Amino acid sequence: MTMASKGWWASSWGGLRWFNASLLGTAVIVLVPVLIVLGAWLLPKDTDVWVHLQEELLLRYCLQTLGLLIGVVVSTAVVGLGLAWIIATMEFPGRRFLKTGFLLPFAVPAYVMGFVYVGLFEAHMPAWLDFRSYPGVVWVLTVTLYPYMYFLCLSAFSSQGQRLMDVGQSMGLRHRQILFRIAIPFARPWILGAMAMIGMETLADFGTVSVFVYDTLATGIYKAWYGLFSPTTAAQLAGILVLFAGVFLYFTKRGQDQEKFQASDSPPLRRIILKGTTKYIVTGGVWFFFALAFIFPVGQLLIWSLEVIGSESLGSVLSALTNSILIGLLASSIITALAFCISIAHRFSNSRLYFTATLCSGLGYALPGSVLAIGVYLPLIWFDQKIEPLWVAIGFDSGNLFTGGLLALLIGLMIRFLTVGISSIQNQMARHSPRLDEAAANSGAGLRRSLVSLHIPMLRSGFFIGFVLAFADCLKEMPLTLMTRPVGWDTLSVKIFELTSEGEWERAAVPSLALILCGFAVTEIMRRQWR
Amino acid sequence: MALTSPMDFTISNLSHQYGTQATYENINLTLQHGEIGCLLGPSGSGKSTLLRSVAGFEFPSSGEIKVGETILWSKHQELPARERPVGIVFQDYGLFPHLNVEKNIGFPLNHLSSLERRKRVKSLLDLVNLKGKEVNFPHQLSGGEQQRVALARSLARQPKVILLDEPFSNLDPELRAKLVQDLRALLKELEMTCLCVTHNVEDAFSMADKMGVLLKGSCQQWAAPHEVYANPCSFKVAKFLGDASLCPPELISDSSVGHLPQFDGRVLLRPNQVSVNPDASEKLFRITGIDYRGFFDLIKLEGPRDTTLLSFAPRSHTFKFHQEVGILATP
Repeated sequence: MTMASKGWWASSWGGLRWFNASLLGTAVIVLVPVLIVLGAWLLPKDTDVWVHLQEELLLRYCLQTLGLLIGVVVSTAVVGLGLAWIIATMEFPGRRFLKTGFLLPFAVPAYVMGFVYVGLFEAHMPAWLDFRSYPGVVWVLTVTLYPYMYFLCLSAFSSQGQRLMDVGQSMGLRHRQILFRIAIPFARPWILGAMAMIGMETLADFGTVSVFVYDTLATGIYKAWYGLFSPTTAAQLAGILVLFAGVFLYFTKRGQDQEKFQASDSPPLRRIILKGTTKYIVTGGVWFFFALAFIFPVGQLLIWSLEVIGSESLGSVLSALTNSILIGLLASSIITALAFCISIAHRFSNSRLYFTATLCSGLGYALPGSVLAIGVYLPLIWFDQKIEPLWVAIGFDSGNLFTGGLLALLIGLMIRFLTVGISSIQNQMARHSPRLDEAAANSGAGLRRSLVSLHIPMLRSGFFIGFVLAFADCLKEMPLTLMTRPVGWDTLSVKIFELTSEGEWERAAVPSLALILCGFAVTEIMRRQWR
Repeated sequence: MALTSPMDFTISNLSHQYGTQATYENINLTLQHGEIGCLLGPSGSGKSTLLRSVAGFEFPSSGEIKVGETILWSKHQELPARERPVGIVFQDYGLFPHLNVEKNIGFPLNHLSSLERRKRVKSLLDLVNLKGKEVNFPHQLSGGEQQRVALARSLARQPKVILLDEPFSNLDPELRAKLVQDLRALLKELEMTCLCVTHNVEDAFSMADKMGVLLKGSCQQWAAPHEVYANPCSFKVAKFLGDASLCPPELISDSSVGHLPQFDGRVLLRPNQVSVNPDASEKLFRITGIDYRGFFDLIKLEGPRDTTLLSFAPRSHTFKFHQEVGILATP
């Protein structure tokens, strides 16, 4: 151990140890569910259930999950990249609007998009044309997840676009050749980053595949938990899903870790002004896609809502909305506060332990909600059982202290979306020069003063963005909420699940619109990052 | 023997390493109360690390740093950065971007009542000539103004020593010479002990009462600028301070060169000490380069025993490439 590994803050700002402790504590809380679902394989198998699973379902769950993953990742790549290229390099009527318009479908949760399409087909298409099929579910996930790809590719193209075009043209390449031979290879780190996000969302999806009755590991976990009453089997299936996620992340990250091309400023893109037939084909094509991805579904939701609003009381929707907002505010406050503590601990540390712990704390997005539900619930049940005798001894009815309330849900949401808060705050904090801390210390300031007077005020927009993104994510989250909420305590997403599983599309429209409104906050934040 | 006055600033036998790599080694320097010292060195020579060690942001591996009788750092005793009686002005100034000038300068004065703080900030603003800029934010100020805010902030706690890290590197070269003079005058007026690191020889010459050259983490000399220039401790130091060449004494006829510093049996000659004599009887040198420098030409001469000399020649002379000439060395 050399002297250089010790930071000056250790002697000046002793209070940092509390932040370090919170970082380590969080890392442990995040790792416990992962270890539990992976460790479940060491438990004896629930023989009856397992035979049933092995005979019929396990292989199907795995293959369908894999199929969905590949289908969605490939099709979002094609759609997102294509749209980003068109918007970045071509000029046509409505381009300015569509540039941000193509982010809007992101505001629509996939399971809402799913039931709208199923409902639309039911109402207007011949009965033999069932939308509940593999292409159907891939389409729905594609139109809701492609904005990840679109957003990152467009950012990449806008940063280096003109330079790429100039280089391509100087080599005598045509417009299309520039895309395949220069732009895509250049944007590869961004493309892989988007693929990682899209893949995680696909693996985590529960709501959409439920609407489509398309069985994946995520629905399998739910069925094992509620249908077969076998927590062990549910945890074992969750273990498989975590492995899927881990392998997928490993490959996308490995590709990304190769050199990330430095994007120095390039002059703004000169766009090609489309003319003649090409103009009509391209304009028609992108507007048609936008209509399918956003205008039709949201329009249909509005129509359904108007039909329902007059005819029934909205009391249950209102109470679900209140619950959603309550849990969203609570969870995202915890997330923002913890993310701040973690970012501070990470900033003032130069030991590998804390770097690893920060990495672990952000693992949540690779843990599908259904997996987390199992991983969080099982240890809490165990705690409840352990302290039960204590309550009995003092003659007090605790009513399941740990599992009876919102604790499991809050912990689950915190783990799942902590990474959203951490990255928002860390992105901003990375811009605070280390000289600022040193100047503060040189001015005699202690840790508390430099946090309160410097970092916190400078992080305002980071806090805001992290909070809003986490809030919107918490509201949308379906399987985790469904599986860990107190019985009868409905949120908007739970309400939507219940209504859609009974095929009541119209009644599901009102809570869905409420979720979409929250989603617009997210697309607005994405849009601002382009400025 | 001079007695150490209470406010002397001393660095003794100080060394620092990253891993097994030494950043600087065995540094010794002393500044008396009110003296300005400059450490000159190329980038990567360890000079900023040394300054940061004094401020408490890096930890040496051995040695001692003292201000008066207060030990800032020794192997067995360490004062945390926030308690050290030193103020530092960073190369990029480290101003708080979200606070205006008044709040930046008042930041270290948190312990005072707001009335007293106002008064102190006002007098500091007067001192650095920034009256009327109280409500401006750092990004609304010029580089020179930002530097003065940083200086005022570091002076606010009334430190015993001020540390300046490359204070002029971000400034417009035209303003630079004047700012160096202004800063020196201000520090002298305050009788402030100051240690400054820079890679610019001219800045160091104009600022310093004492200076040293830090090369590859080691500094062998700590003396007045004219002393270091006239009697450098090594040829490398001599070259870092300006054009210099070495010449075997037998090639120079003038006996007074015996007073000039010698390295490896050769005499150190600056270009201004060498004049080219085209009419000499003994033409031992040949012109191998003529470099136009405006007021004069820098002539490169090659002679016996692999000797290469440099000479400033007034523009009135016209020399030719490959011309054979003699030289005249004047101390």
